[in-house]
Amino acid sequence: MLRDLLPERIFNILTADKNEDKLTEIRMRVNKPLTAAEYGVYSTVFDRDGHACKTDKQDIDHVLAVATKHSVYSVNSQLAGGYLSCDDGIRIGVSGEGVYKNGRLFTLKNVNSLCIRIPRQIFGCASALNPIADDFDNTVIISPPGMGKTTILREFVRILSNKGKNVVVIDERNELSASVNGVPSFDLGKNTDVLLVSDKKSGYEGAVRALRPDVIATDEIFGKDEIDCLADISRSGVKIVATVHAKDALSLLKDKTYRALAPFVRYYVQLEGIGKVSTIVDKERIKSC
Amino acid sequence: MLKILVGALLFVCCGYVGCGVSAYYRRRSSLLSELTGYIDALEKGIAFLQTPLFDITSSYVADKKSDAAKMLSAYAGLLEKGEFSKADCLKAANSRLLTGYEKNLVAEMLYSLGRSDLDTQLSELSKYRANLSPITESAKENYKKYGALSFKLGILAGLAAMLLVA
Repeated sequence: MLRDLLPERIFNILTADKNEDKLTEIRMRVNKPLTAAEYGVYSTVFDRDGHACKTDKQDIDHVLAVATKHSVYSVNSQLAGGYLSCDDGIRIGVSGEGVYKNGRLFTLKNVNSLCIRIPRQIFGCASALNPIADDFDNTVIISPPGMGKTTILREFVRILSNKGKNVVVIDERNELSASVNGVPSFDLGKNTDVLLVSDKKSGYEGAVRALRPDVIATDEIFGKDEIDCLADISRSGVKIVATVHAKDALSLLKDKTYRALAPFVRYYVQLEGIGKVSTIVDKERIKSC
Repeated sequence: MLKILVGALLFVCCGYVGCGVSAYYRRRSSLLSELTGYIDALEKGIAFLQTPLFDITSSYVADKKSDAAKMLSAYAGLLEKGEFSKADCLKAANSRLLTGYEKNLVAEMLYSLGRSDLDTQLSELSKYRANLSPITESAKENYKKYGALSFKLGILAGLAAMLLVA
């Protein structure tokens, strides 16, 4: 996919300088050097002559054209949300000039930089969560951006699913499943259903009412509305596993919005370093202590 | 003997020209009709499922070997690559069956596809349909009027030439 997505010149320079199999992020900015991260470690991309590889507006337009499949109408709501989902789970963060319609952000124009995130499936990376899977209850995985929350969640979903739980994945940005034509590219387990929806709230409703899940999994919960939805789901008897951006459980629960998670979330999984589980906080154990 | 041979040759030539002119009207009419059909397919594909252009285009041309299919296959080839220019679209729309104005119109339509939001895209397609429909109708009329006529005229002219020579 990366070969198709990037202009040939950029792809050739990038793969000559970096190991394609280790790439996790690529950043393209107009008239700035290309940077790439191998397993989260960023560095500038150099050509064979030792010059920094610069990207221009044409390169960015090429990526946009391929990422939107020349069909902006089909992804405009994503663009307004500042991202594009591609096949194979690649997610492109987009920054540019906002265009407003009736006072709301309608789309982006004059795109000036892209953050291309390449998902990886790492089997076994969530083995530290096996005890939770055996006694599963509502769980949030916490870390700052770029620490591998999605990778851990993907693997945890696979574990839960293979333990016999019906898991519905609400995949807003196609990062968890990396679906192509609706079929997941990543192994999410034998009892997993994937809902690719840009409106998570409708996804939650549809999942609870129609798919009879034991667990609903979602990436990057954000804001009060979504937490209210999750509280509703929890009340209905369906368990939740989700990721959230925060430094740790304490800072998450100090926030007046995310404090609303406390009544129904039992496990708080904190990551340290790329994709490493550092702490699992079990609310029930704290209570009993 | 030579006169008969020359006469027969003239008959074949005139008949061939008649067939060629008739085929031109038929192919032109069918090209324009298929392009209008492509707009229908786009409207359906875009308005309901918001299907990407490449999928709509390639399923529209699947199993077709017409002039429109060749043109749209060339366009699908552009869609598979990265960014492309209006000149690339003009190259794809280049057909001897279309006038300069028509080529520009088709190229402009192909270039505009997929570059705007849903509502704008659908209203643009309506605009192109409004431009293309009268041309298509006129091409159909011309085929009805002149298609069969030019074939018959070719045969008649061939016979006349053969008789004159003989």
